[in-house]
Amino acid sequence: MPEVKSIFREVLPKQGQLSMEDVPTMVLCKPKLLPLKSVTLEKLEKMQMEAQKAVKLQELAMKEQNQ
Amino acid sequence: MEVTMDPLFLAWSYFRRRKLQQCSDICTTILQDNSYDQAAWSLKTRALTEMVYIDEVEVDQEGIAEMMLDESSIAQVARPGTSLRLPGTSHGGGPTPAIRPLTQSGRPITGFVRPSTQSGRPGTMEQAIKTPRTASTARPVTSASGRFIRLGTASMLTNPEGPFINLSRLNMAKYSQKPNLSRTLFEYIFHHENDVNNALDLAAQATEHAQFKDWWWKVQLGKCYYRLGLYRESEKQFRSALNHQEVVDTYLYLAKVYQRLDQPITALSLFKQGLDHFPGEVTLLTGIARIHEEMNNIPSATEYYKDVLKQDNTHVEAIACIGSNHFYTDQPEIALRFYRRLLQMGVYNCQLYNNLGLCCFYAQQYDMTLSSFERALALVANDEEQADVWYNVGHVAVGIADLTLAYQCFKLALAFNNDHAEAYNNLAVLELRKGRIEQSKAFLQTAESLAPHMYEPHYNLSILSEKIGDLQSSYTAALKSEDSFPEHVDTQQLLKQLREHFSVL
Amino acid sequence: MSESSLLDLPSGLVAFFMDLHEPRIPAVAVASGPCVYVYKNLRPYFKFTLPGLRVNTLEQDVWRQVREGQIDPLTLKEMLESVRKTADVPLSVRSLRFLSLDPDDMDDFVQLHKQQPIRRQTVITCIGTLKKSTADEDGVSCLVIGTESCDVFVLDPEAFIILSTMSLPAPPTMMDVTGQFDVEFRITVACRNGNIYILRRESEKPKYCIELSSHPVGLVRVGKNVVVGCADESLQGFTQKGKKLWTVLLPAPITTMASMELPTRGLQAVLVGLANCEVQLYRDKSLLSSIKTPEVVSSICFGRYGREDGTLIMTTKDGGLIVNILKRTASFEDRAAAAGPPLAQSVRLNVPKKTKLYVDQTLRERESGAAMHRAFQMDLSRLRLAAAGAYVKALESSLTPMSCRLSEPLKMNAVVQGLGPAFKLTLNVQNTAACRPVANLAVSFLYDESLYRMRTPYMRIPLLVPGVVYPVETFVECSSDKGISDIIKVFVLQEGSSAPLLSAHINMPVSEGLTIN
Repeated sequence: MPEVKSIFREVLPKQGQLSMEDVPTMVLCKPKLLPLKSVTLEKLEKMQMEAQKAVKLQELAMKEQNQ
Repeated sequence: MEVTMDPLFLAWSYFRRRKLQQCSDICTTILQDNSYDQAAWSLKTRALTEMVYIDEVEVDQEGIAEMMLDESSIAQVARPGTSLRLPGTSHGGGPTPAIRPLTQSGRPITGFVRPSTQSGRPGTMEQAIKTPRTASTARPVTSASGRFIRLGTASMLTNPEGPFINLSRLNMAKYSQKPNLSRTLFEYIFHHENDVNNALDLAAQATEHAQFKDWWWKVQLGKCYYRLGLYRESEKQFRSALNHQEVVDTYLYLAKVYQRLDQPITALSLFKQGLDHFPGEVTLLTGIARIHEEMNNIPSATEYYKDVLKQDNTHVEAIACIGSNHFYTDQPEIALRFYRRLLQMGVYNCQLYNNLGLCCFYAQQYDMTLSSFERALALVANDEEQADVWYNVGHVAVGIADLTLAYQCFKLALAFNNDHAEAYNNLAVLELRKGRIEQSKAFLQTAESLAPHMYEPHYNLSILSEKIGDLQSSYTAALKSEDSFPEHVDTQQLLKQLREHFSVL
Repeated sequence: MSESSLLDLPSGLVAFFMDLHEPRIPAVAVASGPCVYVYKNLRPYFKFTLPGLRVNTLEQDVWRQVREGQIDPLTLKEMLESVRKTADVPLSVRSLRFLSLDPDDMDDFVQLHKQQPIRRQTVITCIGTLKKSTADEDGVSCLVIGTESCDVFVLDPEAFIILSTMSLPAPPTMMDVTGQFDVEFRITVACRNGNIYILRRESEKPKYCIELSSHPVGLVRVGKNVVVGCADESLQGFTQKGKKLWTVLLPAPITTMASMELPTRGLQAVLVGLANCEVQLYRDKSLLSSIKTPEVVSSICFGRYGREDGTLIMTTKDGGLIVNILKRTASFEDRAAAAGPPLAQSVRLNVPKKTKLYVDQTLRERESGAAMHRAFQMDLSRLRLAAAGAYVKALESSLTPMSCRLSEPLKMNAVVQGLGPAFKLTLNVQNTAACRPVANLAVSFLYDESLYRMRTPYMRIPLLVPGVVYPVETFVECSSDKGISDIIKVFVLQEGSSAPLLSAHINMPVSEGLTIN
């Protein structure tokens, strides 16, 4: 294919009215930085998890005893 | 011959090395021999307290009941800039929801979570009860029950030998006379047993014994009142304690009371007053920054966080908050700096690597982007975190136009967290590109019901409905979008266009 | 003060001179239902009722037969139905009412009404006045009435007989009248079909027609031109022959319009009340002035009030009354319309500056671009593999809350409500196919039976119509008071297949019901 030299050059007017067409498109939700957890919160969650596990184990043990 | 250490000294040493279980075990043995050994008894209470101790300043979670049956509010609608309750009352020129995602309460997400900022504040009782409740987002009914659930689980464990101290048989009057025992006992009751009534009883008798001159007991009384929801009484105690002795902690507790009473301005001036006595105190500066942040005044929050860093350049909260702020104000390269600093400081978790990955990608440091996300995925602690990381990887995939990968990532986010509204919304956008209108619509509707505070699903649904000619649905959706993000230009334009449509013959 | 109650809602009110008696006191005409009530000296004076419309002869005949006992109500109903379908003259109200009755009530209705003759009555929709023979301010005027039956009548002011009848293609809603009846007049009528018609003397049909692009909500004549306010928030000017002159876009919907004429200063303008609590004054298409009002204005009148020539009276939507007096020094000059590009074009956007760090980083990118690209591509293939692996795993175990099978494209999300120990679980199941329903589905749950009790651990789902969300509800009870919670897994199953179509994990909140006593 022969190379076609472009005869159109872009024009950026300094004066006058600027028009543009704005087509609405759907938007994505934005990327989410994950917040770091404070020490207190981490300790709380850890304690809670451990306690949950312990309670569950205890309940199981109680059941086995009852049987 | 084997030289044995004095058991009490050993226990003390364990205690100092934070081997609390061993410490408590030794004390138990000592107490079995001599149940009147006060030193061992006191050490054991301290060990047991330390096991479950968390900073009382940090713990705060408002329950549904307190929020809705709020007796301290005077006006239904607070004046702008004077309340923590209205999200967005003072936009201090921070980023809009178009750039910075919102939390459920309609506040921009921050770089740091604390126990009190975990769940959003619903606007109405109905919303509070209707909000889909899961283990991670549910708000407790009352703050008493909330704490009970969070902290009290430990105390509910039945000890095989019965409780260490039987509170009902304790002679409070006797112990309150012994200053060297009463304090550890109080902390044990307050933190370990979580029994505020008895703790209050002890504190009241002890402060009487000290002839109302001991600031420490007054602070403890204030803490008890605070937990019981008697904020005015608690304020009185803290104020009185401050008169005896200026202590940073007391300022923090008192500010917490004002925040709960929704008087952020008073809290701010209190912090400033505290700073006069303790110039450059980091916790006070952090307190100010947090209030600014909660009032949506991100620029001045950042200023205060910067002050914090001047005093303490390893302050994780300040670094994280400034970093996230830079990210959402279009300077990911600076955010990257801050997060790298955290990495150097030894913070090593999924959240940090995820943030590093995002910052690298948007700062065009592509070689480190995906490896950071890989690390993040390897470090996830639970399904919610995994979902969030996949969601962000999906964004990278969208950025490099790999829509298959993006589709998979968003779906994975949903597989790990069925309530991930953002993933639903983004999936809907991808579905529409494939021309699957029904699917897209269904996903948007789900996203809408899961997160009514986000404007994206509403706006997208509005555009979709407009495209398929359902102008009425489009209009109602656009109105909802306007409701959650009034400044959104595209929504306004769409509404205008629809209104024109409706008025034309 | 005097108060007279009307039988029906009023549809229009005008003041006019009906005779030449001295002192000159105008009468008030109120249009309501099919009547015009004329009041003079605050007392009822005369009532004019519109003539009845032509009645369908077939209908009349049928009722006559009923009166003579020739047919029973059921036959009557049949005959009326056929008349209604075929005849070009519509049925009377009585017949229409009869047709809508239950068969049990028909007999009584016929007995009650059969003796009276059938009438068809129309109602007045708008009213105006037209000078009889002189253009004097206190000259005798005729009433001009527009009716629901698409007619316009001109009434004689003294004898109240119809002087002239004109008909329109649609029911009129607003009208403006100018000229003298005996010389030449023009009636401009806005109609319910969104068109404006111009009627002239000695022509029964409208002479000109203006077709609008939006419904008219206000009509005011200014000199020889007509200004129309439309529902699309625009103000349009037309010549009296219906040629469009100009259009102005308004900032808000129009609530009311009125003309403002000040002959002493040669001002002819239009007042427009807007829904954004503003009243704007236009001379042709140029905005002369605007007033802010505390509430939305519902009607405007400008003219002489007492000794003051330029008085503006407005009523507000919430029932307030505002009286403004024109300043004697007021000047009405066009505000200069700015030409050229709009202001917004030259506002600089607040784009954050690129930091030095950024520049440094781009340098690095320029230097080691190839290596970065390679590293990224390698990581990307690894990540693609990892994602695909996780995705396949999720699909195989149907972990996703939406199914990917083409035959049953389903979606589900679960909502938990309640504080405990009892919780309500709502599963919103939706078929996202374009048009194919899905049937034979069931839901089952997997949970720790020592912790939770479920009323219905297995449920069948009805046939799912595409696009509709089906909420499936069940109740869960937490049997532990120790403040622990667990995950409940939900599966949607199809009959004859052991692998679930989709599944959801519900992180149950901690039960609080037992802890608050």
